[in-house]
Amino acid sequence: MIENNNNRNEELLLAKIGSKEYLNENCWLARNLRIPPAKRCWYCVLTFRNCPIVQYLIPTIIFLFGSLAVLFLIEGEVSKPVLVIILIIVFGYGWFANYSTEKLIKANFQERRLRIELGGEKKSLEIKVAARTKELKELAVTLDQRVKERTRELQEKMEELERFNKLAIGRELKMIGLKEEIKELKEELEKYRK
Amino acid sequence: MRLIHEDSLRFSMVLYGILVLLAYLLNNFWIILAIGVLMGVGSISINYNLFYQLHSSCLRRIFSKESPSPSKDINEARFAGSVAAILLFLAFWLFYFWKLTMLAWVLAGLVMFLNLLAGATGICVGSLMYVFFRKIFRGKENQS
Repeated sequence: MIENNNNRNEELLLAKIGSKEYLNENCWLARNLRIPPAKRCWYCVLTFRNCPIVQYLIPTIIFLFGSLAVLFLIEGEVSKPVLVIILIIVFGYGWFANYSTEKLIKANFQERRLRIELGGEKKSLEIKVAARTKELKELAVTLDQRVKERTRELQEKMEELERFNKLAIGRELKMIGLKEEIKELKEELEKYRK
Repeated sequence: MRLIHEDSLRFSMVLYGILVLLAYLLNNFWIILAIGVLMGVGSISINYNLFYQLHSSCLRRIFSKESPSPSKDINEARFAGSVAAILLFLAFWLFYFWKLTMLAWVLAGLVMFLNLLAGATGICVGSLMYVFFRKIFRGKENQS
């Protein structure tokens, strides 16, 4: 029952996942905003702490402002080429991180959906196998009953035949005896005539 | 709720960020003013957002094989665009009238950072602020 409810919940979740209606309850930000913060969050089930983009963002901000602060402290100003290089590195990395994260989350979602669909297929197959097994068991039971019934009928017929046989043989024997008696009597009658 | 294409919006955000960076490299505050005007006009109506229209009507058709359905709430984009435009106007005002060059560049740099972040990673701080404020004001409306 609990397993069925879990599966039902999972199916409902899968129906919503991949759309704006989906809300990742594991994510602190999405839960508080009551909407998915970015498009990739339409598929996500991770917690806020484990979100790859948050994991990118925090070191990035620390790196960006840290490196700017260090450069400013050492040289008294941040040269423009250095700033451009830092920005290109940070946002280039960010773009690739975001791209790969989206791919990963979508792949994870596809895998999950496949697993649930396969689970559903397995369940329907199990139900079919159970139904056929039940049918076969019932058939086996009825077959046994039918065999017993036919055996009993055959036994009754055999007994009847035996009785009939006994009766017929007894009659025949009696007839043979009577014929012999008639023959003896005929012979005695012949003797008396002579 | 009208929806717009997120990829086109991100493209426009990256371009705005790059233009602010270019303004910094050329040390030209008139470019900042021009970007502020572009962003402000773009947030009034998405039809006037030049870079969005460029990507949405031309580049996506040329380069993208699949055309995803629109997914971003237009009000989020308009709010974020308005905030960015206000910050850029503020930066220009600080520079032009008060000669606070450093503070002005910090504000412009903030807009550039947030635009590039939104464009590169999809994390739009303005959109999150919009959702947050909407939640607060809707909560108050419901209470009243």
